[in-house]
Amino acid sequence: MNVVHLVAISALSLFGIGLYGLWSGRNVLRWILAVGLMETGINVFLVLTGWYPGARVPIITESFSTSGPVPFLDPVPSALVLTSIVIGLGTTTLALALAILHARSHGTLECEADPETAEVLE
Amino acid sequence: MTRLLAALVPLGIVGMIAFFLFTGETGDRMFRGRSELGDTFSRRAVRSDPPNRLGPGSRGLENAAANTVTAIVLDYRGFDTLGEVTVLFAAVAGAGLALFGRRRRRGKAAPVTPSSLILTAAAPWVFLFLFVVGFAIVLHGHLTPGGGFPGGALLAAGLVLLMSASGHESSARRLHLLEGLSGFAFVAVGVAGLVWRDSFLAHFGDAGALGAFWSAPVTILLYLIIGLKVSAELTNAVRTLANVEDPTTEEVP
Repeated sequence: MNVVHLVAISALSLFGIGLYGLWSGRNVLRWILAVGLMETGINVFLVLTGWYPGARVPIITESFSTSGPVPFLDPVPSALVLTSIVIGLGTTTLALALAILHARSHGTLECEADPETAEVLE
Repeated sequence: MTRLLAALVPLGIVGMIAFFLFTGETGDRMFRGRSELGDTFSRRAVRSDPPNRLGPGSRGLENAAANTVTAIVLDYRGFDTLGEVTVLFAAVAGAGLALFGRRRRRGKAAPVTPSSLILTAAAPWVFLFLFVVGFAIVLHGHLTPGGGFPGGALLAAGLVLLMSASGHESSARRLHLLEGLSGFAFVAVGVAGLVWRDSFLAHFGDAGALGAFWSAPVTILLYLIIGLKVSAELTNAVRTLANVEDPTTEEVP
């Protein structure tokens, strides 16, 4: 148990908080926020999987020398997470637009479980 | 009771994930080293043998960006990044289509609140600061963490701030022009790699010394293009979402 496990637990907790946000309540905005939280947790965890004891930031700086193995953390998950963040932004934008559509047609941001009783304005 | 259940189910799921990740064989392998692929990327030895000397000032490397993540994102996986930028464009365009696909038939435009004195007085200075820092981050993407995506987000923040302070929105046509041109420029750089080197998005020209500002010229160019595209894209997204009529004030017919 060291710092990296603490960060891993924080990432999983973020994921869990997002899951709780999805589970409880029927507000569309709350769902979008919850999905954003889950994304953040997953991103943190993905970056963390590249870490190992003694790993350094994968940038070649002045103090760098090639004697022995390269002391960098795995750069592949970091590069993947860069993509994931941008895609998350795109999906959030689209989800907000759909939430606005929902509010326009139903007059509320709450989602009704039963489509029979749901009230549609148009 | 249902609230307790709603809290317990995510807790159970997370606990199960944590159990599978940190115990047994997976737990032994977690945080224990680096993948072979990541090692090859770090050594810049994907297309050729590992260089004799890798460090600040090395020349003749297959990729001269000091930041390994940038080297992966814009060189080894550059085609993927083109797809990523396309997805961002598609999402913003889709949001615009969903909201304004049918012309506005009813409802009124969202009420415009006049901006306060503090906002109008501070906006130009904050805008200046954001623009300088944003372009600095964009142009140093090959040396430091950052690059076109966060830098472009900063530029977009400056543009949105200026938009909300001056009250008049930036022209949609100009934003679309900037989006289209930067997307075209990305593909043009890719085709230039096809012409001068062997493959699409291959890095052409003299790579320069690793760690110098004028190293990896294609990376600088691509990140500049991405920064402009992301800033236009984000400003457009905010403009789209801000332009919607207020649905809650609408009267029920």
